[in-house]
Amino acid sequence: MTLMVLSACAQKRPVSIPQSHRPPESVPEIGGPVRDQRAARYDSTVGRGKQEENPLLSAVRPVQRPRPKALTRMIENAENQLRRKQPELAFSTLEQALYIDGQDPLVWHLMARARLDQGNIVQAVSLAKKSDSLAAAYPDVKEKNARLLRQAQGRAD
Amino acid sequence: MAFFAYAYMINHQVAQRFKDRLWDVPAKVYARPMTLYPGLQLSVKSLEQELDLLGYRRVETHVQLTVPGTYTRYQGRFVLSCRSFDFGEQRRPVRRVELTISGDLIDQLKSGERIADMEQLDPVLIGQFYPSSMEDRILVDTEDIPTLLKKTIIAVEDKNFYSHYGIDFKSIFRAIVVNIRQGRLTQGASTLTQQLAKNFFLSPDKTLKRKFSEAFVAAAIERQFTKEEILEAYINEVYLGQDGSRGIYGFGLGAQFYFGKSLELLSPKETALLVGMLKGPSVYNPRVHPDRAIARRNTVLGLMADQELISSAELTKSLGSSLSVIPVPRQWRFPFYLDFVKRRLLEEYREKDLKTMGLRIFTPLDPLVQLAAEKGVADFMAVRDSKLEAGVVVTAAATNEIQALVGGKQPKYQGFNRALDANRPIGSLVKPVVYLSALERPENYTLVTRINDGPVALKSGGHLWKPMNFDKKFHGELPLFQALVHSYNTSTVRLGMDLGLETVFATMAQLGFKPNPPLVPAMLLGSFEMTPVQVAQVYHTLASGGFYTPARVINAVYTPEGETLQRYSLNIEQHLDPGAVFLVAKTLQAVVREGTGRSLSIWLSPDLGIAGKTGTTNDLRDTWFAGFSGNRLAVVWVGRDDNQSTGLTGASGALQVFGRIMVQIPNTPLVLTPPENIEWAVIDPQTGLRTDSNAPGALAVPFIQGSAPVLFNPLPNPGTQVIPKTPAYPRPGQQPVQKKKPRYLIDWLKDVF
Repeated sequence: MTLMVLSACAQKRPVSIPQSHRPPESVPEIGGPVRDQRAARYDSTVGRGKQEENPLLSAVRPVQRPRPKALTRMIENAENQLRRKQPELAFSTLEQALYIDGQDPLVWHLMARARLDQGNIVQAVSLAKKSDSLAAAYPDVKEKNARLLRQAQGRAD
Repeated sequence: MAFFAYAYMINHQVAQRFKDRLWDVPAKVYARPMTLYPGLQLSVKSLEQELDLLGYRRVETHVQLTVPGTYTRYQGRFVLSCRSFDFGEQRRPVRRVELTISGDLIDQLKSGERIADMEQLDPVLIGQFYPSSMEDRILVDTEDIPTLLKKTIIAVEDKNFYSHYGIDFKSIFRAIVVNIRQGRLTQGASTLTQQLAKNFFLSPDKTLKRKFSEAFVAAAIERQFTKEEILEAYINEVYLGQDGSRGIYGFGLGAQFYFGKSLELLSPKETALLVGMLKGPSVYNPRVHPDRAIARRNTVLGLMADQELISSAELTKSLGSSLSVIPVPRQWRFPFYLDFVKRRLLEEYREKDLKTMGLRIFTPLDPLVQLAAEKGVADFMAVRDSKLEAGVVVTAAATNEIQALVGGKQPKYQGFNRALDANRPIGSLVKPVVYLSALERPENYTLVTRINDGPVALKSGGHLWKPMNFDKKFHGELPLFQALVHSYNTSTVRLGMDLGLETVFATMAQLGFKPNPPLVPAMLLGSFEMTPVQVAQVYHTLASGGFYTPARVINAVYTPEGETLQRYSLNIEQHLDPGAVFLVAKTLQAVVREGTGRSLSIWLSPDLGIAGKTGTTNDLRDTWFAGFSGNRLAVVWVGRDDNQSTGLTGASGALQVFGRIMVQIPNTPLVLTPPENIEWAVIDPQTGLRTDSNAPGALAVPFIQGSAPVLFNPLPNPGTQVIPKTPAYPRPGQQPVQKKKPRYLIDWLKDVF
């Protein structure tokens, strides 16, 4: 008991808690919580949406975004166009896909792929990095980006 | 000899003339095509607005949907008869599209009989660049011209077209006889070829010399071209009416202008009306003189029946029918946006080519966003000082394509496009740049680093400059993020001066704007000028995680034949560390949630997590707001052209316009994805130390990896002398944190274990 009391009176200590890429749950964040994309997506006006059940629960924790079928189809089209060696057409398809969701990391990755296929290494790298910055919840896309960046590096050398 | 020499000369002239492009065709500028897909946020009102902009007409029954460009609607269920459209890279055919809108979302989508994942409508024509003649036409090829039209023209205008050589002597003789008998000029005998010759080569004077030349030219045309080519040229050439200063030329445009149809869809009675109008487009204008037009149409219908071009049943049906002419199609012009498009095009094309080559220019303008922006400005201005003006830019957050541009409160362009040309001091809009410069140095600054908001005095240009906070108070030591959230001036100036002006404005250059030297301390509070479009560029780099993306107002330019002249693709460059930009974006969300931008909650749900910043300049001359949601960014400037006080702040001026605009258009929540180099810690904002998740006032704070405080204080109580273990907090020269007593036994025990 004495030890417990003494230790509590000690100065604040450095901690060795491992850092997390994810924000802590149930703690308000700077800027406040943003409702989950799936819940809030279609409510932009005041008073029309349901109240968030738990305002402390962070929505910033990476979650995969719901992908409308139209976007899935566009991604498939672009992948087919890339397979058929039509990178410019694929890029154009993917630009349209950004109208549907500008934050889907797979779309940005495929744009990087299209540019790499065209030999535009600088844009390929930029686009892959952009994809990476959005891919916290997409380990598979991160892996693809890493591979693409290695390829780009190889070609640049 | 002279006769042959003249004939040779004319022949040469005709060959030369027809070798060149025959007509000046205005460039057409299109908006983005609306893409429909299940799950798209789209209200019934918005879809009807889009269809109205496209010139689609609502009809009552499905039977009437035979004409492309019509639709039916029953509550939220739409059936569209879509027009064909050539996008350059692909051509969309005429087709039927069905969709159901429920709760402002597309619920179901069908194309033809099949369930569809997506559909694309034709794009709204937002404007044209006309030649000086103001002639407008839609060129049609001979294979797209209905046989009935060709035959009717010949029957009415030139019965012997296929048998004469440009001049019809039999008709001339008959006309002379008739005119002599009647004692006045009642009948002409010009062939189609002669009419063409007159339009292309000669003046409209009725002199003998001109008639003589006309005959030579007509003969030359006949020698060099087939009858089909001559007929096609005639059908594209003729004048068919007037729309203000715009001349309606050719049957292709005539069919659209009077019936809202393409040529191949004209009915016999519509064909008869258009051909009948050749005699006098003004005299027989069906909208102005419907009785005369009906009489003339019926005369032509009679001729068509005589020539057995239509059956007697068709004749009977047509004679008794109405004209079925549509109201004058509205020409949608968004002059401020077009001004920007034109400026960009003139960097690469000659103005003459723009106005004559019939180029097709595709832009990312979203007409629904543009109309919302215009309405947002108009509604705000309605009850305010009549001298207030505004400039607005709305862009797509992902691609920085400009979706809307407002250059003044009057939608009519009067030479001054404020979105592009109003160079005004930006005030506090510069502050995120100062804080970004700090946060890019995680070894020195984090969001919870305490900075000083005390009085400051600096020598600048021989004067002593003493900036004040807007509330005329000083706020002492406070966490860095709070200084930005509340837009404090003195702490920002102190921070900026610690960092160095060169450092701050190097960051600004990375964001997309480099102010002119010399750099002076007052620039830390935005005493330099920018236009709304330039501000949008800078804020877009913040909104896109530090990836600089040049703004675009043109996506592609095609020739009339569908050849790609130029594509303006998306280009991005990583200019800044996504981690540091993420920290600033989070703070800008706090600006709107609890800081200077909180009045935005009047318009938009806090759930959208809009990030933004207000700006006000000295004496309330300029008011700014720049903000972004998950899918859109908008910058608003409100001020006066005479640079006098507006009596408004960023929050009571520009922000109110921003809210009015954004509430009308679909916005997705801004969910910022933390980049890889971000880590989180639970912080007591009062001390900047780590604390328990359940401690009162505890805040989850993001840090660049390795910069989070390592000191742990279980409760926000003063009392402990803390020796900093991280340079991030507290900074040298700061007051040591006071130890606080634990308030709860449970917290005390937690700290122990």
